[in-house]
Amino acid sequence: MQFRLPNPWLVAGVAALAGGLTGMATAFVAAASTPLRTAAPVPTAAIEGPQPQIETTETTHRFGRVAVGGSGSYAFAIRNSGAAPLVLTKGATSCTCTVSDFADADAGDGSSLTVPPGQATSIRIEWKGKGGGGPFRQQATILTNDPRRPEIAFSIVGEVVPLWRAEPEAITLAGLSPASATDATATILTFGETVPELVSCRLAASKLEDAVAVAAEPLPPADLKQADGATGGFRVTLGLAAGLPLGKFGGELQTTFRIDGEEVLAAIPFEATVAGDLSLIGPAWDRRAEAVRLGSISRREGFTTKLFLTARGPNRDQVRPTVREVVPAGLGVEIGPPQPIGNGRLLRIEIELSVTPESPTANRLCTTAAEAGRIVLATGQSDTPELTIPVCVAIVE
Amino acid sequence: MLAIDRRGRRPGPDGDNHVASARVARCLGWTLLMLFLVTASTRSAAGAGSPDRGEGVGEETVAEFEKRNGRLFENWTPPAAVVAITGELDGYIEPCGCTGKENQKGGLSRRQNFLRALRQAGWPVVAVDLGSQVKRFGRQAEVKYQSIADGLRQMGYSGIGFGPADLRLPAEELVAAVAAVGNEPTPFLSANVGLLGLDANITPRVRVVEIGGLRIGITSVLGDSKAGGIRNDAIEIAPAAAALGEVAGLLEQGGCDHQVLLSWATPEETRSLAAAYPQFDIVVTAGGADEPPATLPDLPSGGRLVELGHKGMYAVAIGFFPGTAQPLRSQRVPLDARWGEARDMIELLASYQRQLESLGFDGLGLSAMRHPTGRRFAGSAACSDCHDYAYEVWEGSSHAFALTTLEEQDPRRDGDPECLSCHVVGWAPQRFEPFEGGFASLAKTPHLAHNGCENCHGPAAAHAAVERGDVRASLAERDRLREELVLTLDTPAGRERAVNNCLECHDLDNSPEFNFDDYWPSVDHSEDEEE
Repeated sequence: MQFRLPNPWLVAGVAALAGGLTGMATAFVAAASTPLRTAAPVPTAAIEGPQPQIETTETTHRFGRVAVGGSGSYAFAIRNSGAAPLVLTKGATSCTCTVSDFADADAGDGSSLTVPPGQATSIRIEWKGKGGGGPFRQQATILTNDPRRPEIAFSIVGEVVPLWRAEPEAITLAGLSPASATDATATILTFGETVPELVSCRLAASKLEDAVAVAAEPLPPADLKQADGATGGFRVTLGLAAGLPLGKFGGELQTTFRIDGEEVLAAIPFEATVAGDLSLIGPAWDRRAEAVRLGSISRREGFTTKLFLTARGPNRDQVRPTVREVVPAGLGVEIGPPQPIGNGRLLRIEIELSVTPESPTANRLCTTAAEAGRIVLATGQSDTPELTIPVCVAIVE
Repeated sequence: MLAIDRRGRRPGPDGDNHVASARVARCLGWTLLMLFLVTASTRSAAGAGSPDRGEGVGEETVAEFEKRNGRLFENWTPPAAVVAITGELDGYIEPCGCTGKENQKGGLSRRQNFLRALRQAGWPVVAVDLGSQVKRFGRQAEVKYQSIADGLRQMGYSGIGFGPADLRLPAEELVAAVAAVGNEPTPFLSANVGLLGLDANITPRVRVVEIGGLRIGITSVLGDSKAGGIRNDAIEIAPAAAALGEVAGLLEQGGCDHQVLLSWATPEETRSLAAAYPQFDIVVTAGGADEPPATLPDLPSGGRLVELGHKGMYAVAIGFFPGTAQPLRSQRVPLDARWGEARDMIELLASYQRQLESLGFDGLGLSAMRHPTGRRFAGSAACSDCHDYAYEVWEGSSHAFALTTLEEQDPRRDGDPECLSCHVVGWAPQRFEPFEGGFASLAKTPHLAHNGCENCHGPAAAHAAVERGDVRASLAERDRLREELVLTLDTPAGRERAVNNCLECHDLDNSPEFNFDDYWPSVDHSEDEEE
């Protein structure tokens, strides 16, 4: 008897379909039963015979406050109220700062401890207040052979208090107008045993040390009362004169004071940016190239993006931009009315750029072969009556 | 009967026997092909439901870190949806620290693999981030913020808030990083922070995401206590409670099953906001301890309070199980070595490093500052003429290869000031800035490569010049220059100075195990040792 072998593509197709379905079913079952494959199987066997039973009066100890570098320890009491020996084993600890130890460890590496029925023991956890201060939480896990409570986590909670803390941590003054003077303050809170004594206060590593006045004075008692637990502190003031050059400058505000018998330097980073009266902002604005980069745009698909012109300084209310010239001509430019931002020291003017199916094609991609396009605005402002915005764009089919 | 094979050829001289054996062989071939295809398809499809933990993560690694940091998602059945919460990255785009990364937590790469693993397990995931992508300011922080924003978009985040450090960046950089791209809406949002004004709509105030049959509303606020430190006229910040009052209606209109509040505020402020707006059943706060609690505390409103720790070391996953006895479950997820490397995030980091390199120190705005001593650097080789034993010890230490370790990283980090400052001579380790005359590049200042003698003893150019006879000096001046560079462990003050010097680089982030007494023997170059 003769038989014909099936078409190999058919075989391959059927096999792939069967395999795929089987695989998806396997995946679904696997995902549904063991998500992420990290779950440990839960013992489901019936509990028979004498069993240990762990009892604790507390699992969290709140130690209050400790100084940075200070340490402490606490013993959590554990009792075996069951009928079989309770075996305790060290589990995961959250950090090297927290050490769980056994008071009467079994022989060996000290990682396990057996508590006979009716007996008690303790787990001592030690901690050290490292870091820059703030809330503190550490945890140590103990594994047990109590089938009802196979794992027990002991937590240490409190606050690590630094010798000093600055609020804010850094001073940044963005978008300053060269025409206006400005100032900024920061508070240094100290948490020592004695009241701090000011030694010096200066702006270090700044290009403009002479243009910035710095002063520090002790915090008034009323302010100190509001600072949780602070024993002293200073208010530090930076005064920036008008007429600063455009650009970014910064440094470190260094306050030196004597506290608890030692001299301490509190450094607060500082940065200021002085911007011109008119600035452009937007996702398409390339700040470094100082050009609007739109790339290649299909006129069939169309395109819209927003650019924002911001106006600051004493003449900001004069700014009422109108379009004087647009290259390429197919680029649509719509200008909205000025809107104050927040406190009104800055005005926002929305400029909507668009390409429509009616836009003629053009290449202004800012390359050697295709020079940049531009949007020329009459600003209405006397200092900068005209603003030319370079545009890199190609309008294609 | 004359058999003709499928290609029309006649059988060979063996006749039917040959045809039969050829048929058997073909049948066997088809069977093997089918088996192969079934097996391959099964493996491929099954793989789609398995977690992708990334490169180099085997079962042994998973078991080891389960032991160290606990098991995850124990007894979880597939939830209707999961809110994966991250935040307070503080600039740590890689696992916190430079050494022994496998023992440290965090980084965008692991975060991506964690989210990917949830999604590949078939769980519908909404990812949200509290904010504070960076901690510092300046050009490097701006480039880093843009890279992180790109990374979060790649990870498919639905809601990202702003932290105070983010808002210290220039508004133009923030807008460029967070504004919607083309038709893709931005994942950044805030109820009370408006870039270029709250009515400019650069970022939305709320978002409602529909996933797993649930509607989840998300918003974020910057706490009033943090808003005072933001001095930028281009950023409008409204009082947090009032702003939440304004967006509450929007969320209500969204018909949300759950509402998430990302509150960059102190825990006290956040609790107060949660009490005023009890409709938020998941409230995320900043300002907690380094380690978030294993179990989410309940709020009086009935919601849960989420802390995230710092430096992006943890994520928190909240699963929804509607219609069950436990409709909400949570899991604190340490982003440890269980999560491996994600190639797309490694590429993002490489792109970030390339941008730093291309900007150079000048482009990053790093201007050399005067060393506190006012002195200049000579380079370690200059010390070898007289201090041959100390130099020999140094040459055999890891300090002498410090820059090489950055060059050998993938991606390389030798253009990154945050790394470089502890791997070359003449930089301020904690400020990531060069001193005048400090390392500039391998081409310009090869003698200042690696972590050399002067990083502990101080700049020695004048001392070396006098000792060589290049500069004439009195004996008193010579002795003074010598004395300035002496570090002694024989007095408490000297020892404290030496230890503090080490801690400039061997800090909690980069060298958490550092203990001077343990580390010193490997670099001990004291004179009595020589004898």
